[in-house]
Amino acid sequence: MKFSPRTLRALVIALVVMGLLALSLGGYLTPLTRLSTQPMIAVQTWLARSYQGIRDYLNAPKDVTALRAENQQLKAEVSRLQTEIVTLQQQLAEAELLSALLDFARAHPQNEYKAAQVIGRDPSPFMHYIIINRGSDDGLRVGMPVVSAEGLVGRIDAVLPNAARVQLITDPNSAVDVRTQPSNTNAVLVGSLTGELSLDMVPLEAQLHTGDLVLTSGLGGRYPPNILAGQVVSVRKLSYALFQEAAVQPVVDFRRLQIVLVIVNFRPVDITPLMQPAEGTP
Amino acid sequence: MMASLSGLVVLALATALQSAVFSQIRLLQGAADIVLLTLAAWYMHEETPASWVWAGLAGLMVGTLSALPWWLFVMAYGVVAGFAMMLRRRLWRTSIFSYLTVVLLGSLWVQGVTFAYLRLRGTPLDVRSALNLVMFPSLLLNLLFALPVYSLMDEWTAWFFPEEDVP
Repeated sequence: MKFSPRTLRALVIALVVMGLLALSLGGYLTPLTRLSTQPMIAVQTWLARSYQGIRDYLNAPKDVTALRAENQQLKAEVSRLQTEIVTLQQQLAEAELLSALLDFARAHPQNEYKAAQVIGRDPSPFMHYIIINRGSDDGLRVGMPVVSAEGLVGRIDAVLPNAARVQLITDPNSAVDVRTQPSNTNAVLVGSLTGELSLDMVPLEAQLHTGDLVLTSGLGGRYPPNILAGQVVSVRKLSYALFQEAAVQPVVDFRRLQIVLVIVNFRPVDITPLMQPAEGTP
Repeated sequence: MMASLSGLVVLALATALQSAVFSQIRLLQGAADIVLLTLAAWYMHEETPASWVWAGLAGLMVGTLSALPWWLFVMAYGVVAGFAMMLRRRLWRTSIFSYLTVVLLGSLWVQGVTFAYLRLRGTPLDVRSALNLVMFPSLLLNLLFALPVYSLMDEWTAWFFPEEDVP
């Protein structure tokens, strides 16, 4: 069997390659491979790190700008959502308030109501008055009683075409004819500078107790009867005094009044002429 | 003309703020009087035209909202304006201290006049309660809000009444 030199060379190369493969597979070439590739890997690692460093350096400002823009956008979004939450909370509170007012109106179907928003208070701290956003154009008249979902608020004192001023029952000049329940005693509910309410003109023999409810009596013709005004919290009875006194906790939180109801079908009766002394009487 | 109109707007805004916001910010039973502070700052700025008209207008505006008679505010604010104008004439240069003096005495005066009127009308008011619960807390609030109001009026006068350069 004769081989040509060309075939012989190819055969030798194939054998050498197969030998190398066999040595490599057998793990005999590993130290040699490690020795030859280590410098290459080291150089490549250095190059890769350098490239990444340069790339990060060049791209970093762009990322910060993008992040800042994104941050601003997110902040704006958070701000918008917070505003929306506040608006929704306000709407919820208003809806709850209106629902309570509706319940009150349903509980007293004999009255006709006109809802009004509280838009201000008397500029003088001595006076306990509020300003509402309904006036004579809405059918409001002086003397009409004003209530809230909790109970009695006051009465209209002055009217403009689109606004009205309401005297609160806590005003020092306010006096409301009331009766207590269950003791069924007539009295006068008066306000004070501090906004506290008290019962006056209560006869000494009347049985007044802590916890008694205070409702309008309808006497005097200024308020309709049976509107809750407060609750007796303490009674002071002095043996030498003409009348006993009682402190009353109002049912309405006058500092948080937002929406009130004006009873528009109530016509107050002015009894002032009846209180003038007749001619010839001393 | 424009400056006078803006003055009217400032007073109207102060009255609205007084009724809607500052009357609800209470210290005990006292409340700040932003209209008084605005008026005092107006009169104590040397560039603004000092006229009784502003006190009268402010009194009318507040009197319209209040259950107290309008003339009480016109009179009370008028006296404050007179005192401020007198100080302005007498002093070589008005300062923040003269403004605070007007605020201090003006607050006591306005509250005192209101108290006296209510007592004369028969409103059951106790002097000690009025002093402790209304007058002194109101005075404190007025002094607290005096500087911000003065600064705002400072900006406003600089805008509408620019100081002329002295050659």
